[in-house]
Amino acid sequence: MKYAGALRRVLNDGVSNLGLLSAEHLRTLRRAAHLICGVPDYDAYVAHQRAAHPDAPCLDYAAFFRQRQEARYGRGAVRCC
Amino acid sequence: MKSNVQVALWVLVSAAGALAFGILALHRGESVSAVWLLVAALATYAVGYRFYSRYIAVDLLALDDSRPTPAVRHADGMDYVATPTPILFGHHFAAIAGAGPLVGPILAAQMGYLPSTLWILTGAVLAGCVQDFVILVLSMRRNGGSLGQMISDELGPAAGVVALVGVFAIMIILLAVLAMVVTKALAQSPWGTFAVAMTIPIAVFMGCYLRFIRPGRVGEISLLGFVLLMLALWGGAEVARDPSWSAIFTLDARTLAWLLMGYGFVAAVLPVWLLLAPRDYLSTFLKVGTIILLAVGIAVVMPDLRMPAITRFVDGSGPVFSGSLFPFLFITIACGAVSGFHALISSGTTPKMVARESAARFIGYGGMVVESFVAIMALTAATALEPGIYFAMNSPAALIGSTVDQAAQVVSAWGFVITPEALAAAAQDVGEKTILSRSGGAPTLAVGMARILSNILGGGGLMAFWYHFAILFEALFILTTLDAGTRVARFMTQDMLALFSPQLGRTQSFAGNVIATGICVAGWGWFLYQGVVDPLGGINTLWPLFGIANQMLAAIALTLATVVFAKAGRGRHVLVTLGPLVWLLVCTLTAAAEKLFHADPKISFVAHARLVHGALADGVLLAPAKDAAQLNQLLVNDIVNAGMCALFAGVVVAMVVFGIRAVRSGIPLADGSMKAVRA
Repeated sequence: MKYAGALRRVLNDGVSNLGLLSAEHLRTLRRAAHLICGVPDYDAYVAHQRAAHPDAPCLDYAAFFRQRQEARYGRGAVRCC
Repeated sequence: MKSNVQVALWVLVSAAGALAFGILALHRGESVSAVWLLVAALATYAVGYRFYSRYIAVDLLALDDSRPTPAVRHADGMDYVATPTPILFGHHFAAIAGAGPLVGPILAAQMGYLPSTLWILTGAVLAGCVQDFVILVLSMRRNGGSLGQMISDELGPAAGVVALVGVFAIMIILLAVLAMVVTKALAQSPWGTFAVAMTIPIAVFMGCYLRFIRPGRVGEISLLGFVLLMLALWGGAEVARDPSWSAIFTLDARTLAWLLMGYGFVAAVLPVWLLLAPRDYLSTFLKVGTIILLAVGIAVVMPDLRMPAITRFVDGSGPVFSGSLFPFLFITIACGAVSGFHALISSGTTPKMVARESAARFIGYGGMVVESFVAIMALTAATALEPGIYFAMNSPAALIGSTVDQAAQVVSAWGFVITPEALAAAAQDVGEKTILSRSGGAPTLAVGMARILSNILGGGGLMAFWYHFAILFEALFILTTLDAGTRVARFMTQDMLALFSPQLGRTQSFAGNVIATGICVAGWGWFLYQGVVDPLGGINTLWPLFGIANQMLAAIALTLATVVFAKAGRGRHVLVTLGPLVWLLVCTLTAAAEKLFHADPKISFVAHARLVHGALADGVLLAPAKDAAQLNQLLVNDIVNAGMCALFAGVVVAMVVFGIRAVRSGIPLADGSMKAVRA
């Protein structure tokens, strides 16, 4: 019985750790996928804007995305051979 | 204790690598397992990364995490963002990965797997990775300055202008050769043509969705786009089956070339959100996903390499490209060993996002390690094919004829025995009418990939699907390069036009836009069309020009780095960039000289021009020309190609002269950080 309890605890911890890890991993993957397309982390932008320029307006996500799209492709994008 | 374990581990890694190289080099027989190629590659990369990149990071560059990076100093939440290293690695790799490492090794496979393997691995570890890493750090130390800017600062403004001309010329050749690869892959293939054509409406739909329906939701629309892409692939099979539809999408190379020029023009003129950007999202994800899929496929299937270690074509008489192993192998495989284009990426957006200086090692050096591994995978896929099929696919019709009987006879006579039935069956397996003379690398890779992937997913029945999937994957990101690159070239042209007419230089001006884009498309379109009508297949002429140009750009980047280290007094450590620079100069200039002055008209543009000129004077016809006008056209082609070659050689020599002058006369170091040697 003693072992069953310990086993359950280990399994519980394992599963919840797995959940935590994968949520974090998914966020990293999502961030990486966006950055591959030239869209940096929006949350980081908002955090920066709040901290550095509290009085300046903060772009909403749609405007942020458009701005990034134009910055990346406006003058063409060097793609490798 | 721990250090003993580490020493033992690295001894083991090195021994495994040495063993693998030994087996690859000494093996004589039917085939050798790809596992040895992979072990040799991974061991070389591991040792190179662990020891050499560490030496560069510590002794040459003196990376110092206490020095804030531009991402920290200029943080703006947009361009300058301190980004976790794995995420930035993904961004950087996606930007440097392209068609080059997939095509070059396939063309070079005509000399056997061994020379290509040795060059890809040593080239990457000692030159390519070094260039990417060093340029990334130089740019990072200058607030993310571009390559052109750094050259202007360190070598003088005149050097900056020369470099700009060089970059523009390589851009034009790159776009032409990539368009050529797509043309070769899609000609007479209704399935592939339909699927690739469908990517245009799919991209426009994605663009509108991202603009108006759910702005900025890249992930969901890319997934939807991928589903539509697979539908297009399925539709392509139906199109190929239906006689009337298949007639519409069965196009010859000339028509495809004109369509590509039209596409490139329109895509570069339209607003970027409509076509260019969404196509880039789709192609980037597909590219990264397929590379991972291929790696898994090779690891699971572990095919045997059927190509001999070394073939007799090292003497320069090969059908895929002319010219002997030295110097032509070293310019045919550019990307994957060392690619000048990466210097533009390493001094682009990546340096503005590096969070700490030491992370540049993993991103710069490590990114190129993975790119080089992509080249090894392409080589594996190509050399795992029966050599007979490889040569039938990659030799021009002028050499092997246009029927399976003729091709089998010629290729077998070269010593790579193959039956006409096997050639016909290979075409039927992948759902094509013929696989003969499909040069350009993409179809060969597609057949190789189809064989590997159908081994793990779907079996032989899905071979045709995988073949067209691979063609679609390559065509998709090549077309992205085509429109994005045309746009880059357009802005460079407008900057130059501005010198003559400020009106045309205004990038908002519609006339300026159309004229500049037209000039660029005409530039690459001219080389593309010339290649398409060339009976030797075009790749023969264009790929060496492209290789010379790309290695020239690498030489320019390494010159910059060498000058900076020399000025900063880094002593013998300068050899880290000076060594690869000298090697690239020797290869590029020898190749350029042979392209100009070699006696063999198959190799030299000038010798060929002389031959054509003689034929014109004597009033005789020379194959493939059917009349005097075509002979004249051949002459013009030769002269232009020779001119391009001379231009590339001139640019690289000029850059070296600028470099020596900058060190001697002491143009001051624009950034002093390299002088700070770690205590």
